[in-house]
Amino acid sequence: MEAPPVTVMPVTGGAINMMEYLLQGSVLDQALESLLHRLRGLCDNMEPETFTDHELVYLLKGQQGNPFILRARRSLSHPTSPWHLRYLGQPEVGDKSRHALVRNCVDVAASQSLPEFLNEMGFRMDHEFVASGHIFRKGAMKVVVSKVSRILVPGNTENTERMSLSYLVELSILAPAGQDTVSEDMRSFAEQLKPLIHLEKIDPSKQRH
Amino acid sequence: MLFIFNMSLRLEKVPVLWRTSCLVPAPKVPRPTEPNHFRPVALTSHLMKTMERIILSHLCTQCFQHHPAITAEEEAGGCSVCQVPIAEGKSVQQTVDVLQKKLEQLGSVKQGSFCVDCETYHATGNVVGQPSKLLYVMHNSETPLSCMALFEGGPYLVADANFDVLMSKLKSHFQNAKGHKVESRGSRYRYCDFLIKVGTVTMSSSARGISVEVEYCPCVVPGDCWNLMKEFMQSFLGTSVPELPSVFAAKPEGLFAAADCVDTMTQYLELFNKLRKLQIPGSNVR
Repeated sequence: MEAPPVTVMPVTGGAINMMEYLLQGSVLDQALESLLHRLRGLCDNMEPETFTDHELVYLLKGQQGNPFILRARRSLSHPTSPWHLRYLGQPEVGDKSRHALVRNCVDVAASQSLPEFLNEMGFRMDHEFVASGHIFRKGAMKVVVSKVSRILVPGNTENTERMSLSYLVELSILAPAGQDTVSEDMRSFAEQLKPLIHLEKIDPSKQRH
Repeated sequence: MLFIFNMSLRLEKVPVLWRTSCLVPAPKVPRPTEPNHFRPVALTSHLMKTMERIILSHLCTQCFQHHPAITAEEEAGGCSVCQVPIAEGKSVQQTVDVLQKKLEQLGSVKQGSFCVDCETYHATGNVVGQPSKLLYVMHNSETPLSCMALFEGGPYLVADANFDVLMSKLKSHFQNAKGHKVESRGSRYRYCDFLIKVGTVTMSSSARGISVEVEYCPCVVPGDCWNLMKEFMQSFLGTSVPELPSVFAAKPEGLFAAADCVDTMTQYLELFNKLRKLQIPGSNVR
């Protein structure tokens, strides 16, 4: 289902529509150190943050249409921090020459009772995983380098198994709807990471359930 | 190095050399032959980087330790929300005026206004296995960055204000019963350590009753301050003083569990539901 173009709905119901602009790529384990070294040089001068998060993907299956997906994420390194609930809309299908994937994004911080609350709403957990790695920032841009591991026993985040011998790299910006120039900034930043890594616009429809 | 950093902080000056970076061209391609094949990488001073990281670590503990909406706004003093009956022969507004006058005579100082509202969502039946319970989404002007979602007698969620945006995305699964929005609006008073809010409860622009919220700010344990609160409330509510709210007695630790913003909102929800049913007997929210 296509979302209406970004420029048409900058504001809905009083709240500004935030859009996520995204480029993704991956690097093999052997190239990780070189990538981190380059990112330390290119990104803002601050200690790169490491993180270990547990993400659960919930689905609300309707009688018709695609299921409604919500992503609930909590930090395993800061267990008392709030949960981060995220809704990602359908990718904007507009200008094919746009450099990054653009989709509506709603981020909600929530209390520790989130999983129980989502179950009560009718959501069911579809899958979960542990992601750990590094975050870098450059202005509004965020670069996340993460290792994704599958959870072998549901709910047990100690016992995990790596999904691949590579790291997922995501370059993203969160901006109000209508600011397409941000994808230009992302493209020029991505150029600086070549040939170590090629960040591209991905097609999520290939990852549908 | 410590001496230099302290000097820099005391004099509020950053040495020019620390702000100078060395530009190193890094090759973009395996065999670079022209300037375009290089990209500039700026290497700033190690001393500058070290100092910036020290300052950042101090700033982070001040700024990012707690999410402002969830943690700071969760704490509340011992709180009681009750309904006050409308005085014989008087209107809602007149009864509110009488209460406010009594509070002012006691020495309370008006500090702005407040609003607590409650929206009702019901499952559209679009989903197999979706509960038939109602979902209430409430806001309190005392905690403006937060939003509380409750299932009656069920789990609750404290979230930031974006939860309302998320509910609008879920409209095909949860419909907002707009005509059922209830709110209590009125003046906010401070008397020593007490915060008193006298509100007119309205639904679809018609006044349904009066709510009075009394919070004893220094203490979060109801068992330790209930008698004090009751005595204070008697001074302006007279015989309308409520009993101990059932929300506290219902907890496993009883009266000695710390109260939070959800307990306050649960009390408002009970009051709103009572008033919703009161005026139109036999009415059904669905």
